[in-house]
Amino acid sequence: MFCEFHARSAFSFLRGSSQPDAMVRRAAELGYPAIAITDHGGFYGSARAHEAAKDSSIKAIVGATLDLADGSHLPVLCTDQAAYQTLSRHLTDLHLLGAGKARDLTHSGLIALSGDREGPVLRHLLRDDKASALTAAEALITTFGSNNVYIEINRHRLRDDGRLNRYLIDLASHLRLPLLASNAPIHANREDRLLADAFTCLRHHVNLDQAGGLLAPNAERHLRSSAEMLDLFSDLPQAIRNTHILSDRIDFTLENLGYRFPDFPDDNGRPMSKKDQTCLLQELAYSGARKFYGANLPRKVNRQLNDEIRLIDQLGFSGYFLIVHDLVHYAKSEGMLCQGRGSAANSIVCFALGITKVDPIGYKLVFERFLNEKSASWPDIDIDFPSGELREKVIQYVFGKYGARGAAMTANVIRYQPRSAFREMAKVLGFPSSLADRFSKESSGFRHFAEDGEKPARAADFENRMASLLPPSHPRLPVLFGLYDAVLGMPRHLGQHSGGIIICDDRLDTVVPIQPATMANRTIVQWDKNDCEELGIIKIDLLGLGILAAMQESISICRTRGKDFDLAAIPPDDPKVFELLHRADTIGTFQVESRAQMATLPILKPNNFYDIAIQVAIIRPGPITGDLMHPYLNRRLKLESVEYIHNDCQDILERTLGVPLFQEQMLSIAKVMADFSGSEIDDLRRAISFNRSHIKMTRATSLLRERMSAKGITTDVQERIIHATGNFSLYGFPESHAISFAYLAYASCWLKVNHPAEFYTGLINHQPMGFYSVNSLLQDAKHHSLRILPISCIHSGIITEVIDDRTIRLGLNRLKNLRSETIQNITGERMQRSFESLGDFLRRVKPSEKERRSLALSGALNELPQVEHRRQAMWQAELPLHDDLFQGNSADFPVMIPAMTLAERLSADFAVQGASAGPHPMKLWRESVASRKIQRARDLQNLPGGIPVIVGGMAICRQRPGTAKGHCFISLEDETGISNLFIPKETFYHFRQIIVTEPFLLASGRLQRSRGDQPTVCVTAVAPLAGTDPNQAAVSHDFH
Amino acid sequence: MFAAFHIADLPMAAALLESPHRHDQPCAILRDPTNKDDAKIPLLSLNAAAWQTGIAPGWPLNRALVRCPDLVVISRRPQRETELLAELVEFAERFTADVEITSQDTVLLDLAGTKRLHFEGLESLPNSEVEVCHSLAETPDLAHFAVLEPRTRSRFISLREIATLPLSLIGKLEGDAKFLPLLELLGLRTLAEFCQLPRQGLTERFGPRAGHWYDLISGKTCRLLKLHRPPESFLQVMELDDAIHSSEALLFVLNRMLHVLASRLAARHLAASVLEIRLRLVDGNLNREIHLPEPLADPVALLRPIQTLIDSLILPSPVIALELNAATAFPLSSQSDWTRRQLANPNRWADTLARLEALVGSGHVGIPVRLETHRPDAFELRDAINSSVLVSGNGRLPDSSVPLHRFRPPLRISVAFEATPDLHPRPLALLTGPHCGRVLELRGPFPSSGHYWNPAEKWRRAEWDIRLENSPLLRLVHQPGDRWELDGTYG
Repeated sequence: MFCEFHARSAFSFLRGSSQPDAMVRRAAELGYPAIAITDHGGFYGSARAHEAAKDSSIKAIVGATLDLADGSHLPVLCTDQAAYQTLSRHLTDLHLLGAGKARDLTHSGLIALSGDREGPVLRHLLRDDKASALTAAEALITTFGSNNVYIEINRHRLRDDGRLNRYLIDLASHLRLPLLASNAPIHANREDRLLADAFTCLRHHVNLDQAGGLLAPNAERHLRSSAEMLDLFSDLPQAIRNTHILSDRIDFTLENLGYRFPDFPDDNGRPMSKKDQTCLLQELAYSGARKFYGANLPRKVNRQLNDEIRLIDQLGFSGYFLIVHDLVHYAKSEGMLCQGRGSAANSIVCFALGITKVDPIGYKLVFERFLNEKSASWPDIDIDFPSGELREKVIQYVFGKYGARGAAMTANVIRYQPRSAFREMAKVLGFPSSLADRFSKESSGFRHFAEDGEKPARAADFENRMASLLPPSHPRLPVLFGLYDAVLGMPRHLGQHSGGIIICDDRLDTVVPIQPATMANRTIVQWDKNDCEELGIIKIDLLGLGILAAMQESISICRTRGKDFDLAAIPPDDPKVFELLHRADTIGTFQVESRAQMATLPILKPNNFYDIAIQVAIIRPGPITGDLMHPYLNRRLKLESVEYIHNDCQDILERTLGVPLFQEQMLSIAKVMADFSGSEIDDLRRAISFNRSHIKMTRATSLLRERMSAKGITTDVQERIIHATGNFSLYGFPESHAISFAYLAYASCWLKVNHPAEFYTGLINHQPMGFYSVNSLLQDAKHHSLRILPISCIHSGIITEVIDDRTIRLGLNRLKNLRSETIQNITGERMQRSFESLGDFLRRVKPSEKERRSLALSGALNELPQVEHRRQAMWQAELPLHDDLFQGNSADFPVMIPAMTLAERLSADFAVQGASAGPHPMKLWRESVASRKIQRARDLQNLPGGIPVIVGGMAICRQRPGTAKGHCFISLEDETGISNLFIPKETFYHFRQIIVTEPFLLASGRLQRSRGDQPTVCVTAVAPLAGTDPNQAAVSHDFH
Repeated sequence: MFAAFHIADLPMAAALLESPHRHDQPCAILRDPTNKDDAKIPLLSLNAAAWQTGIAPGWPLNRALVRCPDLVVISRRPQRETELLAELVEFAERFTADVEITSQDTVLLDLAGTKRLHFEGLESLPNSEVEVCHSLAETPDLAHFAVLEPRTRSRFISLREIATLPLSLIGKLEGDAKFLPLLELLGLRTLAEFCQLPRQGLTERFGPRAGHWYDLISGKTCRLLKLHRPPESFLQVMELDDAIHSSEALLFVLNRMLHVLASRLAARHLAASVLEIRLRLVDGNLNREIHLPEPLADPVALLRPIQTLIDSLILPSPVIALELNAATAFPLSSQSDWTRRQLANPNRWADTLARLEALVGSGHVGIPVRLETHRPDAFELRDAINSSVLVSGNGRLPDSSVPLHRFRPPLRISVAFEATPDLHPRPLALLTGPHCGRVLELRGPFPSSGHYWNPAEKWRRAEWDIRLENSPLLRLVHQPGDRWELDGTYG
């Protein structure tokens, strides 16, 4: 039997062309007992290889290929945990400090191979420099010890293999080093060579026609069967035998990673004992619970707290809860809004510690969904913080507390997606970049899931996109698709996870190599969140939520205006909030503002907090494609009877009228109907979480089916349960998560109805966020009787501010091209002394040429003394800054320059702000056209369904969600509100060019009224709205 | 008095000359023809049918397609455009010799000293029949302004009328007038409004170009035209009364033409780098180009490569006319080396190359350069005169230390073989060719492949080193389709 010790995967970026798990599975198929993945510069692919090896019952040996200072590549293997830790720290040093400052590997216990043609020894022999080869081999012995150096022999069927290997055998004999057979594979199968060659081209910035000798001469660098290797090395049996010996010698795998979550420190910074941690947790939890439930805790609460703390203690998680509590406590002490989301909301301990906002007793949430005795993995607590600087503060708090080598963000593996895959592969084949531009524009709404086995769908998608780009007979088209398909889903580079941070009790860099992130003061580990989870590394998600930042600011403005309130104490049943939801007046609010949400709100008519949670959860791709939305709404409206999938599911599905809307329900069904154990439920949970592998899902559903069959469940019921399970793999929501989000949705709606000026101000100051542009938010604010004051260099603050309950003033930061220094200058100078004239303003603020122009065009200078209108300001502001010329300021103003018309002011606002506090462009258009044929958005509310209508407006959103079968939805804004257009697939294709290009549209069709009496225009024809100015259009939110 | 002659949408007019069937169909030419895949490229030029749909130059293609879904994008024809401009210049020169080529589609005429001050009835160019617009004004630039605007064409236009024209005309005349968008932001729409602003204020804010335009539109400046002087051609055409049947006669005529060429070159201090010869035969033409190793102006030296060429020609019919033209360069005045030129005698080198080409055929003479690829024997032929090829090794050691005597070309043979699972059959015996017999010992296969992304060029082969009884060590090659070749013998 043969073991491979020098395999590289696609995580050796732009070298290997197979996924590490594919390499391991192929190795298992070929009968290898062990394989080492030695990716360049790290353990990037090791975690995946380890997982695949566990499944395939072979050993995944950990190693890496080091890039030496002389340009050679040295494969090294970890024999034990100590060697692994040394190598991990060495790799961390290489990435964080640079090549010269990495720790020495002398006597590290690592095993070094002499490598392939790029290795430190063979590269000299290629030039027939035997002396240097000997020196290099001796240097390896000095560093790693003679017992730890192997001379690697490759046979890639090249003519010079014989000559080179003869030298190597002589060298091994001379230095008494063992020989080691290897094929140094960079791909699993022979046919993967094509992609390996493409990667070579990308690495060298050439195309295939130019690559010449850079490409592999043949396709021999794949995993060969043991029999082939035995045959190939029949004259060197010891080289094969040594692979066995080496495999037996290495007993380290990632199973023995040695990771420990830190214990919570006491006041002196010393780690607390388990018992002390549990005592502290108990103390904090009870004290928190008393604040909410009163001094005399209800029996139910008491029992739940006891049960949870006992289980947490039993599983050894007390320190984890204390650390999360510490983070939340820190954030609150800094005045931040924050709350836990996800399954943590099921826990009363989390609630009592202030980590979550949802009372799990009140909402009857089941703790077992968060943590249970048989659960194999750690609890997952995600915490939302206000996005931006405040969240960064919390992240830096963690880095500060656990040290630069004690904490890091998890990586996010950036993979080749259709557009990037096509762009790079087209480049490799020598196609012009314009072809990739056009391919990207052929939006198909297709999403790729690498492991979903959807090759026919991918081929069809590719064919569709290519139809108008290249003739089907193009000789390179088949290769282009081959490369495109092969590279889809392959890792491209490492990014940073949005908020996942991991910490370690000792040194994280001994567990996994750390490297710098692209953001300053941040580091990432070489594994993504799934890898970390699989290896038992605890991740805490510190997520940034724009709405929290906006709400935080709104509350803060309220406080400064004397309207102090605690968001946690707002009435949970404010009728004004539910009225707002019933009329779908939710622009700007959290989660319930999208077009689809607004279309459903008048049907579902939420009447209590739990209804909002359902509303949040139901408009998701999972429930929509799983056809769960309509049954739920029908049952709610009593249009169909409530039925449960099976009588045994009644308790589980009662709250959602028999429709499995939440992930928890799905897991409970698996428990009840298929007798799933705690760990099996955990596996199912992972399988149905977003973006998990097809393989896991298939495995989980097979087990589900098998167990249900064994219990005698009918096939029909089985199918319904399996179908529902499948839906959750497409963005299904856990109930606790939906409730957490519902809390924010409710709070945002409450702010909108009760403190609109503060609400809109907070939103505007934290753009971009949500579904609507600033212009749409301003229009909505005006519909709610707010007055929007324009930017003024005399009155505006840095950010948008509330003037009174009905008035807000746009901030100077809304102006494009205005640097923060200039904004500071404006506010600073005017605090010292009022501006006497435009000349005085320009002289003291010293704006750049662009800034002067922006300020003048926006009208921000209009309130300066002696400035009459924007153009007058502009004429003066265009004069270069010479102090003496401003003494007389406006004296030379030529009277023939006309003031801007209203339409011109609107265009100027959009040009310099992207929004306008002025009238809606459609209002001006209607005044100029005076057509009564074209209905306004408000008019549609009063028209009966079925009648032909024509609507016109500014397209603020064009969507073709993957769940909509090719149909398109457009939101058309006018001065009275928003009209919803439904464009059937055929109509969309017919008018595609107009729909995607024109900012103002004229649509004709028939009015439809949905069950919630919401008017929607089913469009039959679309045309550009003549007479509108494209410069007066806000940015549209398209095809997301 | 000045006149302006202008061809509206000249790129389109030139393109339509080649595609007259598209006259009635809305057509557009894009601004950047190298990037015509991009949907947002602005339009450059339209035909009348396209103008009628309401689109205009400057519109992005995708918006134009919304307005005019039938719009056809056609390619520019630069050669035709040059010809049209030349025809326009020629047309203008009928009226005065003082003509300026002001832009790619407009010429200005100084009419001082000419009697004709009106051009009614002159509507199209005589050859191509492309419509020509004209205007008359006091200054050349005002005439230019006037001819760009349809309502001020075909007549004399006063300063007052000029002022009513749109300000955007400045953009047409000065493509990168950076101040123009600013003036538009100031609400100025016409040239008159522009001229109402104080000149000093304009120059202070928008620079001296704004002042220049101010003076120009106000009629305060009347510049001199940059007169067009056509370059003299080196082309000589000789129509023969009696057809030439012999090479001596042909050389005699060419020699005479070379002397004329040499004197013209000498007058301009130039030398010929390429000679273009066109022989018009009774039935057909024959074109040849002679690239000279260094620029020459001496008729004797120029005749030598021509003589070599003529000697190698076998013409199918007598010559009835000759054309001789030359591409020019500056004569060499320096040496590239301290002691000698790169070629000891470039003329002999050119002569030798011409003889070789006559022998092996056109395109078969040059410097072979090995390509950096794994494909055996892949090479390209570089120009023997103009390319500076430094032939050197690739730094790699030979694959084998034993010399290989190659068969050129490789010998196709029949081989008995057995199939193997890895695509490369194992040879058992050589059945035909100079070396036949059972394979006693073999090494291999050494597979290689490449260009698999290009069906026309893809290749795959596997080499074997074999030993037969009583024969030298051989290199055997297997290629797809069970094609076996003997590549060479070792030793």
